[in-house]
Amino acid sequence: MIRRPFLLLGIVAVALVAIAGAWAIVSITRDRPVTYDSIEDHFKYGSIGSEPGGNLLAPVGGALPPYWVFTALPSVCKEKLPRGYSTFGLITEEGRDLPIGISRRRRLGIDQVGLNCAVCHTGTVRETPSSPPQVVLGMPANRLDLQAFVEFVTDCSLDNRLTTDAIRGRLPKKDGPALFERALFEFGFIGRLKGTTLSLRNRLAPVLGDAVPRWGRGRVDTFNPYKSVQFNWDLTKLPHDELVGASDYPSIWNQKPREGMHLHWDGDNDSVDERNLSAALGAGVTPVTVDHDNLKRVRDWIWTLPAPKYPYRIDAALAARGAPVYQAACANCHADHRFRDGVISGSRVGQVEAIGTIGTDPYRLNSYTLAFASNQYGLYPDSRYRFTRFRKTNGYANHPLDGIWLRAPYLHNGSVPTMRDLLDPPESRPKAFYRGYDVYDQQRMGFVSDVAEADGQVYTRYDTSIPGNGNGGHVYGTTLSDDDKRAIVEYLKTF
Amino acid sequence: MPRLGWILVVVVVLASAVSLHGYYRLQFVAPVQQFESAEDHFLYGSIGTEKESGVPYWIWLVLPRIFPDLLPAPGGYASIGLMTRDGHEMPIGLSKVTIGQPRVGVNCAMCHAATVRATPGDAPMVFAGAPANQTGAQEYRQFLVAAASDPRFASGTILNEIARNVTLPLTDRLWYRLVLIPQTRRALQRLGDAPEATRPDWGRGRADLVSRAKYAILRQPVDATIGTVDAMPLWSLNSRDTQGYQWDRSATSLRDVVQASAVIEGASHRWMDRDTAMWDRPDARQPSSLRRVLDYLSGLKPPKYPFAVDGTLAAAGAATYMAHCAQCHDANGTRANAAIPIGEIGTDRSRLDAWTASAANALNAFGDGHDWKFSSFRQPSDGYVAPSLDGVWLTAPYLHNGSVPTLTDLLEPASSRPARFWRGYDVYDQTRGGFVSDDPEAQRVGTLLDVTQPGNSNGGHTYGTTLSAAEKRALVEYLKTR
Repeated sequence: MIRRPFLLLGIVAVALVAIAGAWAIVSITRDRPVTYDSIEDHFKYGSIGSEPGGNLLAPVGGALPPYWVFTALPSVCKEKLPRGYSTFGLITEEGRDLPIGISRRRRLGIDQVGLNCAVCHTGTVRETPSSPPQVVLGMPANRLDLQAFVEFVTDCSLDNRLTTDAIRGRLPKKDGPALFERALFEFGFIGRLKGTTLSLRNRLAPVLGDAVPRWGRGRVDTFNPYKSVQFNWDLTKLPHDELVGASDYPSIWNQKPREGMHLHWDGDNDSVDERNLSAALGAGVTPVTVDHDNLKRVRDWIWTLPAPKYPYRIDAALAARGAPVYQAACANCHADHRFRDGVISGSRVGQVEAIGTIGTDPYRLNSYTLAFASNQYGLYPDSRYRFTRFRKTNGYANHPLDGIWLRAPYLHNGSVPTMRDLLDPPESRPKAFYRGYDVYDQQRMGFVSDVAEADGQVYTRYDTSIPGNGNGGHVYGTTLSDDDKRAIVEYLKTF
Repeated sequence: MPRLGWILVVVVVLASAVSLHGYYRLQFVAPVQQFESAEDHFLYGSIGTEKESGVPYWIWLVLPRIFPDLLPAPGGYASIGLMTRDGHEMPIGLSKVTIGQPRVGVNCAMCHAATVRATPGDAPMVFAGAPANQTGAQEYRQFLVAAASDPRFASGTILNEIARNVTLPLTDRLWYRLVLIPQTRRALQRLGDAPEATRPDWGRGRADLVSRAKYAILRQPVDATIGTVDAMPLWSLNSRDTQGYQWDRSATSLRDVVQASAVIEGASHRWMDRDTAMWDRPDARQPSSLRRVLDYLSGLKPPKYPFAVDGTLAAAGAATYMAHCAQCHDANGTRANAAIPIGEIGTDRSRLDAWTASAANALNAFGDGHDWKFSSFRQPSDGYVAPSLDGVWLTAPYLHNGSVPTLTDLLEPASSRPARFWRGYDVYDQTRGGFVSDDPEAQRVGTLLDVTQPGNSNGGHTYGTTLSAAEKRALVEYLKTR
């Protein structure tokens, strides 16, 4: 017979353990994104599931540290980031705790953050240096230096100054992390975070730093990080040229008429949905952590999101004169101004032109390989989402030009700053220029590209002589008269 | 009922539930996916190898991601030539069926489907039934064995990697942890103990199924022979019916060859029984897989040369062919499909020594008591078959052991043929007639064939080596039209 006090004590102990266990289980299994009613807010701040998830001891997916660490990093590594995350061209809006493109979600008992579509597909434009920047959803992230951002986050996460104490000291008195998360911080969470960060950095090292030409603002190497993150390929064993793959972010509006066209710069996929899921992998989702419902919400919105109209003055007479010139020189491959209404004019629209014909820089094309496509068919395995539409091509795809005014610089690698430059023969195009400044050049159609530094931002010097940055090829229209070229540019403003 | 009785009932019920669940998740054979086209069935269909020599799909999927260092290059299974094409789930040569859990096995296309590109930038053309020049059948097995022998092949590591791709039910994770992962590790490790594993590597596009049959299936005494040869083309098979199949003509029934190949690759007696029972029921929901393969191969035509041919030059080469090659290699030649005595042909003799009368008898007796029992295997001829040259452009490298990279090289005396070259690169050399075998990319993706290694001699078959350079060029051009 157990004596009564001990029995009581035992029952209380068991109950306490049970309560603690239940609390832990509830905390860990709750998966709750911050939600937004408005679709624009959902696009800018909503979660597509790119936050780490799965198992608390071996989480999968994700590219960023938890919310409380992520928001502390700029002050922990202050000297690297005097102006906060906007240094990298991330756009911050008044009254928001996170930049556009960063989502927040409670997973595994932790307030997590992740990347979403908007980080690479939202940009800004200004009429003059003194006008306020206008945020345009769905346009290429013309200011974003994603590589520098990722490097900062990994470096600072691994910095000796990032400690449990450093985080604890920065937590707010009110509305701080939940008790469960505080407990995790106290029990070695930062140490494990450094472990996963180190492993991610080691996987990506061959395409970060100065191992290959830097992506710079407005560009990303889509497939090389993917090879390593999804398939754990040792990138150092690939031919070095294959690791040069940076190209411009595309716009993502008006997707409906694009279904069935060859998407991505090299036209490697013809399904909008599959392309979306693939891009989501790049943001850090995995087949098990992706939030299909939230992604679908974005998908349905960009399906019919109209391309923004050119907001500045258009010389209607000149544009009208440009229309027939454009029809003769460009429309067969690129469709015309009616594409925004879904009209596909031209037999080569959305088709792939062989690299020998188009003649543009081949590096991006060569970074996507047969072996890689072969592996992609194993993504989202055993589900209706499994990839089946990827194909290795041997050229670059002709893209429709809706909203083309916001898609500068031009060509897949963003090697030609303005539309007017693109209509000049390659040898006359600018050899070097700056990217990332958002003041618009209405004359030449594109962003002002001769400003190295402004408003505390340092822009990317783009050197066309570097591997992957070639500005050759696509000589269509280059033999037209100057008047005709000006007319085409004016007409393109109506797209 | 006394208390003990109740406990017993509970235990029995629990045990039955666990066994039933175990049977369902580990043994239950689900209906096999039926491919609409016979070619897809050949490329991706099951020949029954998943259970005995296969690997659970989820383990198979993540192994290249856990052990990239055990593969020759980044690229997963594609780095050993196992290409997944055009949105298919599995690479050519591998099948997936559910036996409790989804499992992966090899099929005929592992060794008998070729990819060909005109230039490195092109998408490859696939030729079902052609020798799989690009595939490392042995490398595939070596990779699995090496992974299973590595300390990282542990339940935790594998389940964590699987968890990046799919959320398996908790009970299945338990089965993986307790049964499937340890079982797979042991099964793969056993494969590594095969005697032929100590012989020179096969390299791409070659296999030594003679040794596997002798040791793994027929329990023959281990000898020092090497049976490594090129995969044979599987078109125009009916022309060989009376003469015998294989390089040494050691089988006279195509059905026996197809069925025995499945057995050697791991099809069990039970699977063979079921498949054979369906042999004459093509309309059944689960028809015979091997019958479908056999029917497909019986109608397979040699693939036409897909590149440009110089018609005038080829016409000039036709006469040379008639004078110097037709006697042995033309369907109407007096020695068509005959075995050319080894003393006369002078090529590497290892393959002839590898197969024996005793092995043939054992193979014929292997299926005793079963409907699929073999009867047509026999001891090897005294030499190698002179095969038809239909589609010869696609059967490079040449000679039975694939020791000569191109047709042009084969028309040179042995001393002038390449002593080292790389097999496995699928870009075609239209000038020399064969695959590009020594440029940097061929060296990067391929495997080295060194003709000084045992079994790899490139000597013999000196026919045509004394022709003039112009005659040789014309002959090569003509052969492209075959």
